[in-house]
Amino acid sequence: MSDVLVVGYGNTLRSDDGVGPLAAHVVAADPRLAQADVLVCHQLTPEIALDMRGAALVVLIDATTTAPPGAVTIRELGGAGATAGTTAGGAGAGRGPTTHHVGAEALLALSRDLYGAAPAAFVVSVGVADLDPGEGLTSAVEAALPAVADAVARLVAAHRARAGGGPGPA
Amino acid sequence: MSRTIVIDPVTRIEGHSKITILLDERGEVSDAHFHVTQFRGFERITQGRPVHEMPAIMARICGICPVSHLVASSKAVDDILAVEPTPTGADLRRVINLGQIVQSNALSFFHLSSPDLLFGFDADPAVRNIVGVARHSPQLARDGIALRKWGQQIIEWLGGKRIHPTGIVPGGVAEPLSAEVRDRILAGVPEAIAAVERAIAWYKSDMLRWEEEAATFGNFRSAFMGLVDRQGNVDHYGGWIRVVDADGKYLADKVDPRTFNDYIGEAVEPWSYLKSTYWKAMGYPDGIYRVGPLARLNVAERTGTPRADEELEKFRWRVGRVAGSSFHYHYARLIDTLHAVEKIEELLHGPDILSKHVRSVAGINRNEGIGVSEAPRGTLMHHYRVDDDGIVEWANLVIATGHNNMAMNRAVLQVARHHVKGETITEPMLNRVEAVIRCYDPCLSCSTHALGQMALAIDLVGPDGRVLDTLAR
Repeated sequence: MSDVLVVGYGNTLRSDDGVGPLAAHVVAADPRLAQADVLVCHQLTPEIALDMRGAALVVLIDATTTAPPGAVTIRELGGAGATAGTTAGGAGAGRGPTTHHVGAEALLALSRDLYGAAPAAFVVSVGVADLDPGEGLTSAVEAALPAVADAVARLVAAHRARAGGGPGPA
Repeated sequence: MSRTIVIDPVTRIEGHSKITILLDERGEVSDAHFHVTQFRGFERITQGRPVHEMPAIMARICGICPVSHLVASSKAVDDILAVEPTPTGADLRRVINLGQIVQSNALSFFHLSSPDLLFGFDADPAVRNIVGVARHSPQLARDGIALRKWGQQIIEWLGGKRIHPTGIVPGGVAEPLSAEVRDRILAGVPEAIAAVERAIAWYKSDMLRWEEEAATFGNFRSAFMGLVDRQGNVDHYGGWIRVVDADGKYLADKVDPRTFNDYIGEAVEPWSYLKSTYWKAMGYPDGIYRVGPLARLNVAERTGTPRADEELEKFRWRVGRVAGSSFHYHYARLIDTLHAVEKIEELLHGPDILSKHVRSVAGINRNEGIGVSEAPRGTLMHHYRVDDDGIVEWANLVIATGHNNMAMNRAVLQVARHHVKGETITEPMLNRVEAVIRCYDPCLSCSTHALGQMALAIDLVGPDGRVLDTLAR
């Protein structure tokens, strides 16, 4: 089990909403990230808190409508400051922990409160153009997949450097 | 002047819906409707598809209980092929179906309903959620997560993937079970049993706190339906249909599931996409019956596994031989889960469970097929007609949430009459009306036949049709 967990989530039947799962597959095939555990799912659910238990770094990959199509942004989650019921940002914003779906912040809080896990956590968001029913990504979003893998690789490299584990992937 | 309350959307259920509460001229609740506002149309879109594709298509109906549709659909196609799955194939189907029961029941009880039970129905919604549960009762939250994870792993290991698995196929299952996977599943049994038993112990210790809810949350006389085996015990996969009335008297027993149309009618109301099924002998709307965990315990002699039977005895001592309150779905769901864990263990210790003979192969031998199984929420029926080349001409799905539709409407009416006072909707009122729906754990993705989404709302409507108040989340 790796100390790095990458979770790509979204609905692959909703066009660009599938960028999280598809990017996770790119990450899984990337030799720079061979040591990472990669999880692909439809949405964030409480059980993922269990997967986060042994991780020192968690990277969530999601779609966002608040950035231009194909734009890749990185946001650090609150970690120890995460509060119950808050789902700020693009990862589950506005839904709250009231259904089988939980937001990224709430998931981090669950992992901390239940398992004592305190991983560094980031959301890599990809701006989307089309969320209508359909398979496949629009061209701008598909072109961003290598940039998503690069962003994840940089986060992992920085994590390794902080942990003193060597230079990590370039 | 009469008035109407509308709750739109209903939260912490699978899918989207709305509740309308009608007030009479004296300002008292005269009627209530639980509206399902989605439309899906699987019965139509499958027309023209090869019947061998049906299990994989039908599993897409729902991301929560795809296995249930996979099982019922595969059984319907078995019927068209006129084949019986091999014994090992049938047992592996049972295991994956029970894994589905465990993970879905855990979702319903631990993630969706435990916040109400732990903090009370009047608690602040900002606390009354799974993160609040984790902070207040971390072991309860951990147990829910562990159970759901274990159930999902069973589905993933046997079905190929966690969501929309494909391992169940017409004639049996796609692959034999390996000793390594069997042992991995069995290794999780002790923890799963311990988790359910802790939850049952907590539930029993706190039951008295919910006496008012037990008395008013869908507490009425109705029939109950479920599948039982040859001994009359709970059977989640096959067996016969049994229906009992509110006193436990058989209305029907040893009914071949393939003849369900002789007993069950379907009615449609203009205010919902969810069909209302009814017991034909009693007509519509008098032929109200309930399905799901509570019904399974009410119709069966026993569960057939030792720990669950011990708890069933205590359950009956506490709430009666035929429990009438829908609030007891929660308690029943825990016992149903305990039985499922025990049954998984029993099946995996079977001498032929690793047999390579897991699938019977045949061509089209009938033009009509019916498959019936127990889904987490109750009895599930798939009925198909095909042409001589196996192309689907017609399909009809009778879903657990449809069986419970009339009961849910009656339950909402009862809660509304008890809690709705005046012309405005309060948060505790909203939550109680929602909570009675959650007792049934309805799955609206399955039960509607979604274009678009509509999140629960309550409308309070007067006798002149004017909406007096609306509360939505």
